[in-house]
Amino acid sequence: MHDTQPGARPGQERYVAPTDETPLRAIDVVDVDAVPESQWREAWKRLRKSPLFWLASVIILVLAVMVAFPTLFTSADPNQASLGKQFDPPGDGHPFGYNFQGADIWARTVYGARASVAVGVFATLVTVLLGVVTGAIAGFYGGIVDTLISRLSDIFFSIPVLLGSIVVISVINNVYPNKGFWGSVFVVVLALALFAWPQITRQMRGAVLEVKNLEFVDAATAIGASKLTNLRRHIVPNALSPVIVSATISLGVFIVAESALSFLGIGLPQTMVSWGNDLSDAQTLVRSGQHLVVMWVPATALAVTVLGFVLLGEAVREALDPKARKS
Amino acid sequence: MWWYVAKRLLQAIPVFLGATLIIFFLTKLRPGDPILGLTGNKPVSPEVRQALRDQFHLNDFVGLQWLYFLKDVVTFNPNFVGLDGQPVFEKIGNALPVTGTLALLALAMDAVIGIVVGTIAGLRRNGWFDSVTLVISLILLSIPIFVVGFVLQFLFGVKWGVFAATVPVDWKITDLLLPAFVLAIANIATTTRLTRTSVANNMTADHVRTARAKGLAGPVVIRNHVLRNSLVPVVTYIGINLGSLMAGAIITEGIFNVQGIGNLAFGAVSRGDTPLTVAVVSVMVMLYVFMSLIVDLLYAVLDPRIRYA
Repeated sequence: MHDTQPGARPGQERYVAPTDETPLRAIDVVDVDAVPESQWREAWKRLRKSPLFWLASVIILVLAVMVAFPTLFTSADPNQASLGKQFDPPGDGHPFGYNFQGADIWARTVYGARASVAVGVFATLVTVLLGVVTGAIAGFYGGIVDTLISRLSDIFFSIPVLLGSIVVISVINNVYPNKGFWGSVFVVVLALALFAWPQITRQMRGAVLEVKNLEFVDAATAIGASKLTNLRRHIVPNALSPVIVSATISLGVFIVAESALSFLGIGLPQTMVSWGNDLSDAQTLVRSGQHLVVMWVPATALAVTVLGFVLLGEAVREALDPKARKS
Repeated sequence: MWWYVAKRLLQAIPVFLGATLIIFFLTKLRPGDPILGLTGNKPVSPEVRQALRDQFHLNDFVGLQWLYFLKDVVTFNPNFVGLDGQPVFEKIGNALPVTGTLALLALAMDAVIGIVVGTIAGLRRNGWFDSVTLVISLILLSIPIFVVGFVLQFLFGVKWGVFAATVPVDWKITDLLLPAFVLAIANIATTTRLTRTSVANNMTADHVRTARAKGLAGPVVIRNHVLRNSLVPVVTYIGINLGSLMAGAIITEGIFNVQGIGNLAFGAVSRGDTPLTVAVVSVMVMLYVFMSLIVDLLYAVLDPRIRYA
């Protein structure tokens, strides 16, 4: 959106008056009696125009279909392995061939989406819920409540996520060895969220502190809104945008973290079909440089998924924060 | 200034206490007989068992055990042993140099590559270089570090033999270049983005326009007015990362078989060696607290608007 004159040096773009930005005609057609649009509607309008958003949406939509209906993508059974087919080349209905165990690589990747996405989605939900509630309370009420929550978040923040998660998972796995699909996902989610929420708390607290002294909050108080209504209806919704951006990006980060935990042999149990486990299994092959397809397929699936969420986060950031978009 | 340092150190105490308490209790929840772990699952006579339980304070109330532990950690007690009977701080002391060097190397790569590439991208915003770096950094952010690690290890270590594929115990600094780069990759992507945005914002700032208006040469404006102001948030980001780099080394050390803190921590957790686990995490927390203090002070040095009374 720069009105750059030819040959302008960087930093000089702003000298040009932005004549075409709001022509007089545009001002004339503004309907002054119209109901003002909410910030979310405006954000959605901007989001719709972003190619980044549509690219991310396509990726996430395909992923969602893959999670819900894996049979649409493959007819093979990810758990059926016959050693006779070890490293067999691609064939009809098996686009990438077979892995070390003789299981269909593509089928394992398709079915593996479920566990990885489940960890990403639920870890994000728990983190955001914990972070938004604690951050909003700390920022809004201040005083001793703020001190308590801030110190507590400092404590959890000081423990590195990966290290803390390893300790938590290893303890829980020793107490409850067999958990099934959702039990295993729950443990990884709990371990990651336990050390990740302070980030959101800090962000939310800062945003609430900024918003709570703005005029529209005073206005709401003046027309008789109670403290809680103010917090719920006016402050939290207006302080939420930075959290939404980091939540979107952290969804991808959690998926990567799960695969890192599986790589260390401590994430989801080895019997579960997940990208992390497939990548972990592939590591010995990569060391010898053979059958690299066993690693590339799940690695690409994981990278594209994470890319989808990172791009969505970038698009949402631009849509929610017009200031950052212009600069 | 000194008052601020004292205040920050004072604030760090509850953080340190809380973090060790959490990890300590978590590891205590783990089932299994630590004495059997110590003796290699061989049965022990009740007298020996009792003596060992006394030595490790296992008969005391958990809170008291934690206090004993704290005393050992704060004094770096050389007689404080893990469940294998080896002095804990000797192990940590042996592992710290290699992980520290690895993290510092990664930090240096992060700073140099991130700032140079980010500045070039920021100076010509939306140019081809900017677009290419954006795409590359987004891709690097999306690929798990161990996949990148394995590929680079295979290419440079095994196939072309440029670097050692794994790091020997008597490591040289050249052995650590490849692992450090792998460790730094995710951070380089973020530092580049941060520098780029910061430089791009400063290019349109009023003081830069003034500097140009009074006739300063382009490079001088960029060096003295754009870069100096843009790098404040970047330096803080890079600094605060030393702690997370040392923790992130757990993966890198696994790939390249580096006998550092990450390997030590992971081994301690998998073996259920409570004293060693908690000691390693405590050292990491200390490092984190120390680094964030340094970064805050650095912030005040770099940005004259910030003064700590």
